[in-house]
Amino acid sequence: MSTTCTNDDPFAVADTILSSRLLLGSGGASSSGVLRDAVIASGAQVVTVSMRRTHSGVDNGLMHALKDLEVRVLPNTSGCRTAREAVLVAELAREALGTDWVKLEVVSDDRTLLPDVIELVEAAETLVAKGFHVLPYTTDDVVIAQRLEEVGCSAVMPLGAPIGSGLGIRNPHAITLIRETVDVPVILDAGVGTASDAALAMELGCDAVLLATAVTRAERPALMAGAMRHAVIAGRDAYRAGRVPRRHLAQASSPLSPTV
Amino acid sequence: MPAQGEDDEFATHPTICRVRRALPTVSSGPVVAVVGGGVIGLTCARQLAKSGAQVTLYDRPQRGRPSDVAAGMLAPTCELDYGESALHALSVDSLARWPELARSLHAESGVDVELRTNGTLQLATDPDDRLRLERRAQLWDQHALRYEWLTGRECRRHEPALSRRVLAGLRVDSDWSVDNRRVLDALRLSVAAGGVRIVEDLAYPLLADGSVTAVRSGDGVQRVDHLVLAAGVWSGRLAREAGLDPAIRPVKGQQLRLHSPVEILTRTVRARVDEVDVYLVPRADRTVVVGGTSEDVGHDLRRTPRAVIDLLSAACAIVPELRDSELVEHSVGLRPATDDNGPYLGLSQVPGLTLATGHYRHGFLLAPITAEVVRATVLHEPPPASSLPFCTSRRLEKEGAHA
Repeated sequence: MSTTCTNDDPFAVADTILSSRLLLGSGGASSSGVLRDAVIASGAQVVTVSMRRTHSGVDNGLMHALKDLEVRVLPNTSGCRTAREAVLVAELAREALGTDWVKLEVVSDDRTLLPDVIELVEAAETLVAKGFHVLPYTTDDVVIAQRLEEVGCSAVMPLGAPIGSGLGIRNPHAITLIRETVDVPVILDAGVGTASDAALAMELGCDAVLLATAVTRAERPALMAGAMRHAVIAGRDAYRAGRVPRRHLAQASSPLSPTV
Repeated sequence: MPAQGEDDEFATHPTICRVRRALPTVSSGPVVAVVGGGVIGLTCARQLAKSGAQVTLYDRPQRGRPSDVAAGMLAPTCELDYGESALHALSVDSLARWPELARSLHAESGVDVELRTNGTLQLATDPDDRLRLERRAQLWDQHALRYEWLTGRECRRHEPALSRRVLAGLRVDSDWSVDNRRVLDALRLSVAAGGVRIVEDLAYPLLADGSVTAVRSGDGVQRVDHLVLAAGVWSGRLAREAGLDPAIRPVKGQQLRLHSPVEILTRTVRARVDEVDVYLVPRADRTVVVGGTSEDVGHDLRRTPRAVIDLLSAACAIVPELRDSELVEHSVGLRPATDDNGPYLGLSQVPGLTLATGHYRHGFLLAPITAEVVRATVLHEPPPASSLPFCTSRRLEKEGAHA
């Protein structure tokens, strides 16, 4: 099985080396079987789960779907509106799932699901102090990304577009700026609609991509999951390979005096 | 319903009594234990009794039994999802059997189960939602299903209580409803009149030489030819006693019932409002059933403020009159979900153990076809072709290979 990470290009988050640069969200699948097949096809090693869906422990379809798969469950605080609520949910998650990783989400309202970055930074700081490895879902604002890094987040997860919108990366320049500015991993989160969006994120220099709806609500989720896996590999390789500069006019690819 | 204790619930159903009915002395049909007194168990017990079997129905009332809470939508079209063509074919086959079942139940029990065949409106409330409906319509086109696009104004002509929030809609004439509680009442009267013995307990399978040959319950040990397992989310525990482990988990659904002095809706209305899925199903007594959440949180019967806020906000956004109705009920059901949303039907690998479980959101819709599969299985006849993909032995084998 090809993976997105090779020995000469490891993907490390919070001292952990991950085997895939594709992270999968679990929301939206029509059945647990569909989700399981999609996770397998994606090659993802990290699957996020909403603590709203797992608060009662592991007796649910999500955990059933992930059973026996070699995936790391990353709890998220989706649906939380305040820093206080997000911190409580993260602590519940740590207890229920035995992980101190948390994907931190604090959203302003249910209609846009956009991050409330003031509450987000507040919650991130609190959780880092409590020993969590915090991966915050944030806007594509470079200053906020810096603030999140300063308070000790293990990665930053800027959005490409609103959650579930499938609009792709609306401001590629902002994502590039964040990548150039912070030292922690940048994981593009939200907005991916199809494989080219995921490839673009990686070409912009993102360390990984997290997506859910694009796969779980596709007509054939497992097929799309495989497409995303290949897109992330292709985008990462293209980024590392160093693309040719854009030119105004043609340049013959077979010059008169060959170099090879 | 949920506010009542188990005993109270029984007291309200005089048709279920502790008095044992004498078995027909001349009957030579197979001896069958049906475990589970929801819509599936009752429908199976009724069908088996009509076919000459000697049936005992083991029915321990459980809080969270989804049949008590179900909206009673019979919706093969609106419930269709990608990759679920076989389930759709099963649903269509079952729906076609409902008019006859409703007529028979009326004749047998005197209870009109209120089969509404005037269709369903699936509504769009914002431009994104309209796009979502267009995608659904494409899926329906692929299955050659009939529907009609309506403008917002046309939707309001069909159902004048709808608000201007409704931008467009799909009229789906194939999706009907029944009154779940009337169906259960009718079935209870019918099975009682049909000679089905009722025991208020679960029954555990007892095996001999790898076959189910008897059941054990508070009523003692009874020899059986067949055990029909129709115990919903409680099925897994009983199946494990026989060495099977069907993957069935509870998916919690919360639902509200609103009562109005006047009729507000004449047909089922479904919508997504601000990303909350809601259905409104009218009843003849002018109650509107408003549901339903779908929460994959295990065996949890808590009724939450979030469900009330989400469901009422969505319902009142599309039918503003409901704001002044009376909130008469907030209840919880635990739907028995499987990995692929399809049920387990028919004979399992364990001889004598027939499964009729895992119906998830589709218990009322799939009750007639399930009863037919069970009848055919017990009488060693071939089951309907549409049920073959859900044949229990095949499904459990497939899952075994998968793991």
